[in-house]
Amino acid sequence: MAERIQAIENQAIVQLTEVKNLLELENFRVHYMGKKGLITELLQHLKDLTPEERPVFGKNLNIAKRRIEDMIAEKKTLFENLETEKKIKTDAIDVTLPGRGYARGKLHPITQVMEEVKEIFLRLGFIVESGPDIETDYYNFEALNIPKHHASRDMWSTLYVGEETLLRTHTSPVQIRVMEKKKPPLAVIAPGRVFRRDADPTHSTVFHQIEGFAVDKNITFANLKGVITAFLHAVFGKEKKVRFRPSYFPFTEPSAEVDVEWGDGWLEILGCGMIDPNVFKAVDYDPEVWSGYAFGMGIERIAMLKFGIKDIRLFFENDMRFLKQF
Amino acid sequence: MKIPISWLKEYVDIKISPEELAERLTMAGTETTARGELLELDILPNRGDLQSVIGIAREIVTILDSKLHGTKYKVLSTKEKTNVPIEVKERKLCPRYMARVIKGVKIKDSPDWMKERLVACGLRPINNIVDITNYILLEYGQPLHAFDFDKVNKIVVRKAAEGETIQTLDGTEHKLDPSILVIADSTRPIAVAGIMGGKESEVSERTQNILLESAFFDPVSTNKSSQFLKLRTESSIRFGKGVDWEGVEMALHAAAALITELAEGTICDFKADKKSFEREPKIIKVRTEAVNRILGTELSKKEIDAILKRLNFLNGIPLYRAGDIEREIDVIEEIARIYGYHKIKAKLPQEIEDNPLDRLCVKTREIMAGAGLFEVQTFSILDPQYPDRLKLRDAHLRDFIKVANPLTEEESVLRTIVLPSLLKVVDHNRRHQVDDVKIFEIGKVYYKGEPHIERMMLAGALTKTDFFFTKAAVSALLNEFGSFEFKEIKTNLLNLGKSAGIVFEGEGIGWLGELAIPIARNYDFTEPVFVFELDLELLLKNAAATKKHAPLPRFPKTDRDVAFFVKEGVTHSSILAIIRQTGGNLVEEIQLFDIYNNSRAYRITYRDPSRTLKVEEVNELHTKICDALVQKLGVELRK
Repeated sequence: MAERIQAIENQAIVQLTEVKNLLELENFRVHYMGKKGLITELLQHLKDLTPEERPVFGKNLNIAKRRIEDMIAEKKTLFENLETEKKIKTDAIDVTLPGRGYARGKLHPITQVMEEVKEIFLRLGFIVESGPDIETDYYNFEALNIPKHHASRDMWSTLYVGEETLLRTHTSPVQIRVMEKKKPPLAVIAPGRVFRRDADPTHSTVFHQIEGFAVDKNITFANLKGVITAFLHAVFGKEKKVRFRPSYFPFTEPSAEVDVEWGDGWLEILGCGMIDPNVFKAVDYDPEVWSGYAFGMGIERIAMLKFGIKDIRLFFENDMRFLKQF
Repeated sequence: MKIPISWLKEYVDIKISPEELAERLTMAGTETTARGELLELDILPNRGDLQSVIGIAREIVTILDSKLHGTKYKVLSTKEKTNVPIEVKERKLCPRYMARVIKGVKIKDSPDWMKERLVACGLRPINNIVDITNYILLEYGQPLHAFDFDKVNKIVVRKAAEGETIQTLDGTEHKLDPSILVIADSTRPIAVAGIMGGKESEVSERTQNILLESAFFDPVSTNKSSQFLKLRTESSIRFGKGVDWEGVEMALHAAAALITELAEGTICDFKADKKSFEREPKIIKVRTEAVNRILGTELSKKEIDAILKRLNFLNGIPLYRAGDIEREIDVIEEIARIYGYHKIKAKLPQEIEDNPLDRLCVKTREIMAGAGLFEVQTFSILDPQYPDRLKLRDAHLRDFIKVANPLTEEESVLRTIVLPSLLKVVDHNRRHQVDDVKIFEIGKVYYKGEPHIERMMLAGALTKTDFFFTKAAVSALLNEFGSFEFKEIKTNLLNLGKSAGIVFEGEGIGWLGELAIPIARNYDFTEPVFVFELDLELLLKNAAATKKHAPLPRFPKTDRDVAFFVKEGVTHSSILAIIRQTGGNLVEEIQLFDIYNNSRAYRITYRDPSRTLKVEEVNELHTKICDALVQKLGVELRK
């Protein structure tokens, strides 16, 4: 009987080499291992054997059976891998084709800079306030220590909409509006649109500013320097030098222009100073108790520096090709 | 930790309710819950001194500004002499070791009152001697250990030798190593110091004489050994947080007194007290200025002294607080705690007032950009021709504010509508061969008034697209803040039939549609421009303050599709209305998934949040809906 088993096994080894695919492999399996397969059939002979022969026969048969099973399994894995490979090949795509679906829009570069500046001051504990674009002469000038017919009014070329109303020339009136309704301590920024009677490659009739100010007991020029330096380092990088240079604004005393190191020289970035006691008087704060600083900066100017933009008018043309760059 | 209030009352008069007592303790730093006459306390890790009845009683005395009662235990020792050699080899790890010997004890059950208290505190009564050591542990916070005196010939406090082992009371065999402090007799360890006694010298029914140990073991060393042996006990927890130097002695005498009372023992004259050093209450200088500077209070020296008196700090820091109060700032914390955090006036750097409109603008920008639109910034001053070019009829839109001294005619009036600014941008781009323009702006418009009125608007203009893309962008925004609908409207600005009013939470806030052909012609636009404009301040007014979470469904949904042809004039919203009306609460979602000419296909999702719907039920309801669509809207069902 052992020869019989050996013969079937040999036959299987030869036949398996001719199996070409999974379907043929299944037929092969049925031929040997199926209910009426050759191996299964051999089992029928078990009853014809003597009790002594049976265990040896059973053992041999089992070994042969397992060998054939292993051969089938091995072949199966081989065919499956081949098929997977084939499928992957046919399904392959050109991965350099563009992605599909929504294209995201973008925020205007002015907004991006505005939000960046705002975010830095929010982290420093400032809150956001706003005021109207159409202001009164009082808030825009007088309360800020700029009396009527004073020479300093020439600093701003103003667009008027009425006798006492105008388009605000700076965001500083928000200082007055906030201090009128709130008591110190205060740390406020006021981003917004401002208007000047002015137009050339670096000046726009409409542009944007961020005003900031803080009022508390014991606020000093040193605090101002600290906050402004920290801010400029955050925007332009820690390695940039910052310098404070004496200047003049009617609503601050002492006043300063702040320059940032730029190439071989310096670039004027913002104006600031300690809030003038006359401003405090206008809002009924006692200048002997409270002190504070204020600063203001043009957003377009910072954006032009940051992005290397030479003409301010590009911001307001809103050419799609320009907007997509940021 | 659990403590019956009746036990506390032996040390302090308590006239307030358990609930109020718990509240007062909680507000002084020890989270406490009253369960009837039982207090459940959560002791902070720095307050080892509170891990006992007396500790909590002291805290209550401080909080209520009352007096602590004296001890109730009297020690009556006899003349009987006995002697045990006691040797402390590790004086740093065991700076104080005391022991007493009590002879002739009768081991039996403890009295009921004691058992009840132990059980109330979560301990299992065993026999009178063990129970007394546990009782004193709870009362004084001082772990004690009773050895069977006849099995101990000597006490040596030393580190375990390499390879030594001990079987502890719980029956576990432990391998020791030289990092572990043990109590040993002349030959072998008989207890793991501060953690658990050994089985061999355990007090049993046959015990007649006992040696009672009370010591101060180093907290860090105890914690290390406890971790090493994976053995955490009432004793190790207390030593680990540091016990009271003076409590070592008080607890020992109290336990001895209780043993004579409850186990008929006689206390021998022998009293061992091995001390490495003397401890004195530490004097800490507390500056009134520093207290007020740190706390922001205006307390006077007198007020501070009154609080220090309540804390028993006037003559230095009592030894039971020695582990925790070491610096001026520690004392300041105690002053704040007893003064009451609620009495300290809150000061802010400044009022943090939200700017909701600013935040809405930031969010709106993000959503519109996410929907594929580019933000623009345009001038808010325009040329005065724009109302005519837009064929505006509305008086308030025509009646702009003029600039008195304009630089140019082109920039001489304040806009009443953002649309012309955007059309200018579309025009600019068109002239530069950029045909695909999808833009939005968040900007102000201005109306005449006293004073003049300014409103923040969102406006958009899109080319190379259709009505529904535009609507989807605006819907994405509105969906973020509340419920909305688009209603057909008639306006000069938009082509009839492709114009919708935007209704948000029931209020009209703007419009959306295809720019009217006559206006487009004014700008030389040949292709359709889809435009919208809405009032962000109105949106803000009606926006939901917060989003509310709805529980996720627990029961399965069932989807059914219905496809049909519609007659002219049958709108999507009328179809939705019929489905909702007929289906009621069981209709969860309706999705239009196919649209072609006058053919529509909807998928209706049915679900009951409280149960699984039966198939027959869904079929019946779905048929009802189909019938309603046929009857009320005259649709023709597709097979």
